[in-house]
Amino acid sequence: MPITEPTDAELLHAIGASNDREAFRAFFRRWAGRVHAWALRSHPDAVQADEVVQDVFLRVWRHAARFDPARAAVSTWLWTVARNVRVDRMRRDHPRWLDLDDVVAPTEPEASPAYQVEAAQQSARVRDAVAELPPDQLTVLNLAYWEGRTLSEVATVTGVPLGTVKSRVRLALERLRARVDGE
Amino acid sequence: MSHCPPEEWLFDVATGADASSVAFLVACHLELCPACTRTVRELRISGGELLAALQDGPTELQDVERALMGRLDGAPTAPVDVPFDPVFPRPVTAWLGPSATAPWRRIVPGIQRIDLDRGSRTFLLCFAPGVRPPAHRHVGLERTLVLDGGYRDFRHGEFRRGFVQIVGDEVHEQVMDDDGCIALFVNDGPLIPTTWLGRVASWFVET
Repeated sequence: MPITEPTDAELLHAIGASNDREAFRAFFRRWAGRVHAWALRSHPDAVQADEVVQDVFLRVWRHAARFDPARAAVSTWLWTVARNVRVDRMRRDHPRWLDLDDVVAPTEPEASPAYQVEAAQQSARVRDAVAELPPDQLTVLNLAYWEGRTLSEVATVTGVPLGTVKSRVRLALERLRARVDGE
Repeated sequence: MSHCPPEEWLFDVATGADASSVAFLVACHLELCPACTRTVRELRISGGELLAALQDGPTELQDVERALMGRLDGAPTAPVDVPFDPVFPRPVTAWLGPSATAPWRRIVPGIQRIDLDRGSRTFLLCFAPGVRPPAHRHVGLERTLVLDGGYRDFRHGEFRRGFVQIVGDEVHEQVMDDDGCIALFVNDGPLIPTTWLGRVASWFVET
């Protein structure tokens, strides 16, 4: 009888319910490479990028019990964790406010049906769609999503009006969405 | 006229690019606006898809894994959920506690204030029913989010719970609803009263 690997959601459940260190290790090994690639884009310094990866996964360890597969896909949840770490690190220099987790997470509705498709296939489609993006759309997506710049900063860096930046982001995301939902 | 924050503010909050007082106001608005919450949710789904589609970097991460596993036991527990409050959105409740025991400070008759962050001019005002603050304008932008009750701006119309108003360098006048109004303000600079009465009142508001 074949032994099936636990899903990402099952690993998170094991971490949250019983502080399962081996489940945590398995989850880390599945996702750390991608989280590290993400961290390097906004923190080119290797030491800082390693710190960010640790911060993200420590937060996974602490918050895994809050993951609800009926409300968000693992990738959405993990992206949100990473995004909160980005915000926390900014607030470390300017300490104020609370954890924005508390605001958005409780009101997030269910994950879209698109998440029912097999994760690896979906990621391949997104990769293809990103590779096919026109350079101007790819640039704004990189600056905003990966480097963590505000859209106003993206407008300044690229030298195009804010309205153009917004429409490029919108078009890029529509292309990704169409690829994920439509194929 | 839209009563929601501009699209770029939602985007900056979704990606975590903005952790300022403006992001705080947007976060409060999200709790009161299903449409903007939907927008932010979709931006996060896209973020998750992009993250999942990334290729692993060339770096070996065994050292990071080892360091991380050694830190698990000392990791603090997750914070508890902020309770629901009928007036304050969760970011405000987390900051001040429940609205029923909020530390209001009377500044002029009919207006109370709580400073959240004096440096960036972020504060709450509570107006008594029918109050008509003196006409004024602002240095930079004034961003207002109505948390309870509402008001009528003589030039821009009605504003109710969840509505955002963004005012630049223009004179504006408002009158509060019969229920009064509680609102969150994020200002770039001081307000400039345009009447002698306003100049007297502003001394109290700004100090």
